[in-house]
Amino acid sequence: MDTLSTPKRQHPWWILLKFIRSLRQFIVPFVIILLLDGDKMIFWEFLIIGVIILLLIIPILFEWKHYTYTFKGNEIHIQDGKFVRNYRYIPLSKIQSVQTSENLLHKLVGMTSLTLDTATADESEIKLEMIRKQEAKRIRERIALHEEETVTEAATKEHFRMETKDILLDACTSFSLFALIPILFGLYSELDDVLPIESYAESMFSYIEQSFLLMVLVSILLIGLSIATGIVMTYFRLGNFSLRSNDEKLFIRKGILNETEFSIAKNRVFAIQMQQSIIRRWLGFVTVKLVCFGDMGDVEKQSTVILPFVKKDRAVHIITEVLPGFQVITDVESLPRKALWVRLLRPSYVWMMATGVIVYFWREFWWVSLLLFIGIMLLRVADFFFSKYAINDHYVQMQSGVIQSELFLTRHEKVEQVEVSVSKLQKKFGLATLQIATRGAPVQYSDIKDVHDEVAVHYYQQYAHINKKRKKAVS
Amino acid sequence: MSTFLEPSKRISPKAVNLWRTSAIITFVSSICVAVILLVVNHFLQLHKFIDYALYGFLVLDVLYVVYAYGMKPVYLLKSWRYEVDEDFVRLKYGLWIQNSVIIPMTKVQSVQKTQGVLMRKYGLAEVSVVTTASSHEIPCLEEEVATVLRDQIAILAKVEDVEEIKEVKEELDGHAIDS
Repeated sequence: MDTLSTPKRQHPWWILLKFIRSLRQFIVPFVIILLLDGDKMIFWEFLIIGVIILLLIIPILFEWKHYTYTFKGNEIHIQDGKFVRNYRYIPLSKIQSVQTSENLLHKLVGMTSLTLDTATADESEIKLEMIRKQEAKRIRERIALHEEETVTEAATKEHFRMETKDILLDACTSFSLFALIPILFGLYSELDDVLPIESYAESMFSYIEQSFLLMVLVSILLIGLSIATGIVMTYFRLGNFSLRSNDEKLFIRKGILNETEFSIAKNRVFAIQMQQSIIRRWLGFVTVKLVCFGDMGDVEKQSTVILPFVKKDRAVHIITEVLPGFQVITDVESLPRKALWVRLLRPSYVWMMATGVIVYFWREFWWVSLLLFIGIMLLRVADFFFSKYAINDHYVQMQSGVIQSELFLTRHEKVEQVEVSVSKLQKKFGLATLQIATRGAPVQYSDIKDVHDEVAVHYYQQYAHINKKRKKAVS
Repeated sequence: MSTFLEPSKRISPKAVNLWRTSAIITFVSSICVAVILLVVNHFLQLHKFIDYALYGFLVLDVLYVVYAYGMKPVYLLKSWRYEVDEDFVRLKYGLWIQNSVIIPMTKVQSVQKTQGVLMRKYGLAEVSVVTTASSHEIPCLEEEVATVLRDQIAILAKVEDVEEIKEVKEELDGHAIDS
C-alpha cells in the first residue's frame, strides 16, 4: 500500500542522514584522540568510539521507528516519541509555505526533504527529512488540492534568474569578500593547538618583510584568493537562483549542492523588505525579501529572499509583476527639517560610554572620542537624509538606514498593531515615532523615527478607521 | 495632539503602593546580594576592582530606589490610560517616552488575567492582551475590573475569530481589485 492515508515512516536513509548529522559534533574529539596517540590506536579508544556510535545510533533508530505521518481528510497527523507518545494534528489550511531541499546525501540516494511551515509559535515546522521524490510530489499535490490551487509547473512564469554576471557582482559588493579571513584565522588557531606552527609563521613573516616585492606579491595573492573564495561561496549560495510565479503562488529555487525549492501563497506574504548596503546603494542594486512564515534556511532566518541582487528599477517592476498586492511607492516624503535638530540633540549613549572609558584608561587618546563624536553626528545627518516614508490608501512604506538601508512596505490590512511614541525631546519639537508590526516569523517591527506628530496621529486614525470599516463590511 | 490618542480609563491608584513595595523589595534584595559579594571579596581578596564596582553599584542602587520609590510610581500612574471597545484595544503609557498603542480586536489572539503574590495582597490583577505580533499588559487593575475586562475582550475577540475566514477571503478580493 502506497497511499498518503496510511501511517508511514520516513525512508530508512533518514537514519544515515541523522547519524551523519549527530556525528558532526564528535569530529573534533575524534581527531584529537587520533592525533594524541599518533598512528597507534589503542583498544580502549576503539571501544570509546564504538560506544559513542552505538549511543548515537540507538536513539536515532527509535526516533525513526516511532515517527510516522499520515494525511487524513483536511489534516496531517504526526506521531512521534519513544516513551511519551506525541500526536499532532495540523489542518492543511494552516500550512503557510512548502519547501523541498536536497543536500549531497539526498542526491546520492535520489531522495528529497520536505518542510511545511505552519505559522504556529512552537514547533512551527513539519520536517520530513528523507522521503522519495514521488512522495514529496504527492504531498505537494495533496496540499495544493486542498487549497484548490494549481501547482502545475507549466503554468508558472519565470521573472528572475541569477546570471553569472550577477553572481560576480554580488560577490564583489558583499562581505563574502572577507569570508577568507575568519576561515584562515580559524584554520591557524586549530592547527596551532596541534602543531607548533607559530615559530614557522614568525620566521616566514620576517622573511617576507625583508623584501618589498615579496610583500606585494603575497598581498596580491591573498586578495586574489579572498575574491575567489567570495565568488565561490556566492556561487554555492545563489547559483541557479530563480523566481517564478503563477496566479496564486511564488516559487523560489536555488542552490548548487543543496538544492532548495520554496513555494508560498501570495496572500500569505505579510510585507516586503528591500535592502541595500552602502556600496550597493551607490551602484543601484537591491536585495528583496518577503516577510512571511517559513524560510529557506538562510543565515537571515526571518525572511525569504526573492531577489538576491537586482537593479532597483527592475526590482520594483518585478515586485508589481509577482505580487500585485504590493506596489513600491516612488513618491516618498522626507522627514521635517526639525527632525535633524532632534537627531543632533539626542544624547548618544555609545559615545558617552566610550568617552568615559577613554577618559579613565587612556587619557592621551582623547581625540578618539572627538572622532567618534564627529562620526556619530555625520551618520545621524546621513540617516536624516536617507529616512523616507509614504502612506497612501493601501500601503505604508518606511525607509531608513545608512550603512545598511532598508525599505519596508506593507498593506494596511496586514498591520497587526500600531504604536505611536513620543519622547520628551520629540514632544518639544512636535515629532513622534511611528511603529507598526506585521506577522511573520519572527514578528516584524518597523518604525520611522521623528515624523511630524500629525503624520503619526493621522496614520493611527486612518488605521483605526480602516479596521472599523473592514469589520462593518464583514458583518 | 488629537483626543483620539487619549483612551479614557485609568488603572487603580493602588498601583503606586504596589510599585513602591516592589521597588523596596528589589532594592533590599539587590543590596543583600551586593553585601554578600563584598563580604566574599573581603575574605578571598579577589580583586580591588570588584570592591569599586560594588560600591559604585550601591550608590546607583540608592539613587535608583529614590527615583523608583519617590517619583516613578506617581507619574507612571498618571500616564497610564487604556480603553477597550468593540473595535480596538487602546493603550497609552510611558514616563519618559509616551507610547500610544492600537490593536484591532480582530488581531487579538488571546487574553489573560494574571495575579502575582504582591498583586494579590493589594487586590490587583494584570490583563495581558496577546496578538500574533506581541503581548501587551495592562497592569494594576482592581481585581473585579480585571475579570470583567478579560471576559469582555475574550467575548469581543472570539466573535471576530469566527469571522477570520471571511476576512481572509476579503483580503483575497482586495488583491484581485488591486491587480
